[in-house]
Amino acid sequence: MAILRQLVVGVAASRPLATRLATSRPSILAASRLLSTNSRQQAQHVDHTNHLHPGHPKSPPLQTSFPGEFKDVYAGGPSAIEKAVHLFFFTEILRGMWIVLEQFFRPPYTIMYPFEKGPLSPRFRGEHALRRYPSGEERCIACKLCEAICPAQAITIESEARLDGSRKTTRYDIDMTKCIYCGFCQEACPVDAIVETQNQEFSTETREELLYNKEKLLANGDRAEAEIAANLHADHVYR
Amino acid sequence: MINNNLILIILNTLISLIDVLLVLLPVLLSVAFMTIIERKQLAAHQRRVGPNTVGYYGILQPFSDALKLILKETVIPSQSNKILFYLAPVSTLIFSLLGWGIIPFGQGLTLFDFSLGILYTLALSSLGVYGVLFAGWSANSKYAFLGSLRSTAAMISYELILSSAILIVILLAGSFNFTTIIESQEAIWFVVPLLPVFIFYFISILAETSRTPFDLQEAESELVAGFFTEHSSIIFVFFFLAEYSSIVLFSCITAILFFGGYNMPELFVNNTFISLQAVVLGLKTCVFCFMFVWFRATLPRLRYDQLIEFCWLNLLPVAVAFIILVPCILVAFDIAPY
Amino acid sequence: MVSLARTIRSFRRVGFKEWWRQLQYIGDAKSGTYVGKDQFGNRYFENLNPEEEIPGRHRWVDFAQHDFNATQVPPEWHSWISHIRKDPPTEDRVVQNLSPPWKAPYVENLTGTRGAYRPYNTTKPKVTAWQPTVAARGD
Repeated sequence: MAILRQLVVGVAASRPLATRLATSRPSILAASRLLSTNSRQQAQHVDHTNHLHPGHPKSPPLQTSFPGEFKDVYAGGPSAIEKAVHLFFFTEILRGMWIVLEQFFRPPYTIMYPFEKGPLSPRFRGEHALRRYPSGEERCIACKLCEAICPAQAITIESEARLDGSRKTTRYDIDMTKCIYCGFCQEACPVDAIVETQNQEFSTETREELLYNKEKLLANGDRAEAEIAANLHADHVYR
Repeated sequence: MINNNLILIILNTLISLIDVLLVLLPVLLSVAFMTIIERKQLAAHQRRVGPNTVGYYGILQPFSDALKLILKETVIPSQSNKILFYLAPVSTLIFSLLGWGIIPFGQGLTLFDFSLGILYTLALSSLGVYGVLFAGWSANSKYAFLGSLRSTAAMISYELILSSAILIVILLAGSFNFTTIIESQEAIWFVVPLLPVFIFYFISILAETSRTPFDLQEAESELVAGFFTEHSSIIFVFFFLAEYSSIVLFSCITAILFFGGYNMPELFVNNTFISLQAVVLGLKTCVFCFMFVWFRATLPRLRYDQLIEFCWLNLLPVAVAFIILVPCILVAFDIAPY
Repeated sequence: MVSLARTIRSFRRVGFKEWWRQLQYIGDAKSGTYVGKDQFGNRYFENLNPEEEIPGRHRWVDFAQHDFNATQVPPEWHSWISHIRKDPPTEDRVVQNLSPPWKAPYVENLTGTRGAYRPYNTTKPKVTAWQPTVAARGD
């Protein structure tokens, strides 16, 4: 019933407009009628033409029909033949197919992975690394904040005082199979020692290769120091 | 004398065999490449690349796929009817390949210029249903069985529309023979006077080859494979080949029935040592193969009741109306060709 | 669809040899400016013309090894090809200045080979076996 009422209102609104529009801009009307395949769309199109010509009233007062008076509710809408043609020749489907055909001739979005790579953020959290000071001294002071904050409890630290009196880790193990790459460890670290690098290509064939120890993490840091430092530099204004 | 006759008979048989092979091998090759074309074209519609690793631009992918499937283990359900289980894919493939026997690839370039060619084609497409039924029943699996029932119902329903559409073409051409139909299109392709017929004809061959949007028997993205759920490895290859072979075959038949087959402007016909007519037919076939995949890329799948309802309540009345209308016009204007 | 015009354009620009190489590896004809080469001989290219390359495909690497692998890209170039840094490491002052003298040579991910990492303990064992010592007798 709601649809029917909308149709009646729409048609009542469209009738005076349609006659005026037919003289002023027949092409728009023709186009909108070509596109329309059902009554609801037609009602929307009337709103559309009103929008184009804001000088006209939004809708004239609803004409009350008198009993016995013939009122053609379909007068403003598409003709039966038009609707039948749209239905029978599948014009909606054809329009959909046209869109699909347009895509056919456009280049694919596929990124050819090992050759091309998608964008990563400087804050990307990938494989872990332990960093060193520019002098070559390792940064980690074995404060165990990362071990404490790690939600997956992937980090294990043991420490000892070195001969020169500084406290250093003897064990810094990260179980990468447990790690959830949340980045809390690098946030917790007071000396920027443990960081997550942008390397995500550290997949292994066995699980045990993912049980990183201190030497592996330091080696990661030694190799990628330039990249890590540049990323921290890029981010330093926000930290 | 007897010896001579025997040699003659053997030679004739050999020549016929070679003839058949000459048709069959390119058909099988084109069917193989139809699979890669489908995947690449679907990828292009979705702005992907598609298979691109086996061979340059992935062109050898069908052979890799076939090899993989052949090397797989054949698993047969223990309580199945083994004879029918094997017979079903074989019969499906044979019936879909037999259809190529009467396709004229050029003037006089056909295995068998059968005067009832269209009836033969229709009969073969009806026989194809048996493969589906056998496969579903013999596997002794309820999924395969349900799939085969749905497949069969859809195929039988849409065959009605298909034969109605073809009947109208026959009315216009006045012959069951493919060559005659092609020759009667020299003036104008039948698609021009029969555009609405062509539309429901194409819908029915989409359903007949169970392609999207009518592929809900298989529904490869959500269900298992439908009637060939239990078939694996090489017998699955047979079903696969049969499916794509019938796509290519129906594309070819569409080109013949509605688009003038191998007809082309007289200008190019003569003085060539290669049969340009066959090339023309091939190109037209390619267009319809493209359309098959294009439909698949565009249209979502119908629900099963919609599928059947669309056939019986929408398409069939239209088809019947055209069957009445077209002879009326032919008689009224006295333009019937017979 | 991979455009024929694009393939022909790239072919005309890069020549047959390079095109053939691209066909063997990346499987697509691409053309762009040569950006640089890393210590392993991998070559890096860029094409910033949006008409010619879809954004995301505008930087690519041509691996030196036949048996290529994404981790063969050293970290400095990794941050360039992953679009983390705008300039290649040959021009990027930040990356150059931050490279420490003790930087270790880069190795690719060696998993599945003999060079693969194997975890080991970095601490002294907490429990050590008792080594019996025999005191001299007889005095």
